[in-house]
Amino acid sequence: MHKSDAHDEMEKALLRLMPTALGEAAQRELETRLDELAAEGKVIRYDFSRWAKWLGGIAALVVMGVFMFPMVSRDAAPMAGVAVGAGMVLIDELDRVGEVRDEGLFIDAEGSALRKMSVRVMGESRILDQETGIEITLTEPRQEMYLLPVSNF
Amino acid sequence: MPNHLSKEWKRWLAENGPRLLLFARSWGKCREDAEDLVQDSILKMWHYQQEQNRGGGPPDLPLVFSTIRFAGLMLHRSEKRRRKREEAILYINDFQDVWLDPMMEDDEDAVLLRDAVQNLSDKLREVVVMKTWGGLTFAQISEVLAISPNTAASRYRYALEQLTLELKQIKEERRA
Repeated sequence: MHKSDAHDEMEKALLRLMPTALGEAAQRELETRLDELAAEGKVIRYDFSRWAKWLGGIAALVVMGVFMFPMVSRDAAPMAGVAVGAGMVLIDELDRVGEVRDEGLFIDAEGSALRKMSVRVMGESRILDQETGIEITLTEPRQEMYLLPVSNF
Repeated sequence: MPNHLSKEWKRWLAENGPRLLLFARSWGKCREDAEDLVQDSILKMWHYQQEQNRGGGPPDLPLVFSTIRFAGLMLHRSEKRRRKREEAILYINDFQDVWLDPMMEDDEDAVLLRDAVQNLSDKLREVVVMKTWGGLTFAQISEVLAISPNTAASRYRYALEQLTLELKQIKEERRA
């Protein structure tokens, strides 16, 4: 059989398959969220602006991060070199600790005194697209809360 | 107006949800991960469409495919932390978890082909998914993947060849 005929046949065969639908719960949740957003009639800006920055100039964020956050913790990078998707390889990842804030004392259900510490962490992953050689840096800010036992007052 | 907008997005979701989910399957470890990726990406798109003064209506498909791809990368970023959190959870394999369904019941060839598509390498499969079920042109696919249109077209052709070959081999084995 001629190559293009074989391709045509395969294309027809592929069309005998259809993608499965979103799960009922996921579909309902998404539709509810769309209803809510439409009703609010407003834009939550934080989300996509960060997203768009990735697409535009992720490198700038890396440079910013280096100056803004002293690096105090580095993951042992057990995933370094691991493929994370089509032709993408994780080069390394690290966490930069930014602001550390004392949120005061806290008494848990058993009556033990704990000190609440809020830590702002900027997680970074460097990913290499093997096809194009482009290096992508993903940054993910997050807030972590630590409860430290207090023994001295 | 808001009601009209929400209806328009839901219509768009009903039409495109399955093809976006199929694309997201390459990036999520399970169906739920993929559904989360689709959900996050669509909500991001909602804000983007509002912010960019695009009338607030549903976005173009290539843009959503790109967004899912980046969301997929992000998912892997947080994978390690999530694994730590979920160490105690017992997973039960869902053997019915398939990416594609045959249009006709008892279509044995289609079932074989479905398995062959799932077994394609990520690079080949994402092109086939965007072309066949996403309806994208090679130019659009090339933008999503940051490759040339020629590369996208060759990957597609190569994928079709691999699928043809694999099906042929399976059938021959069965006959033998």
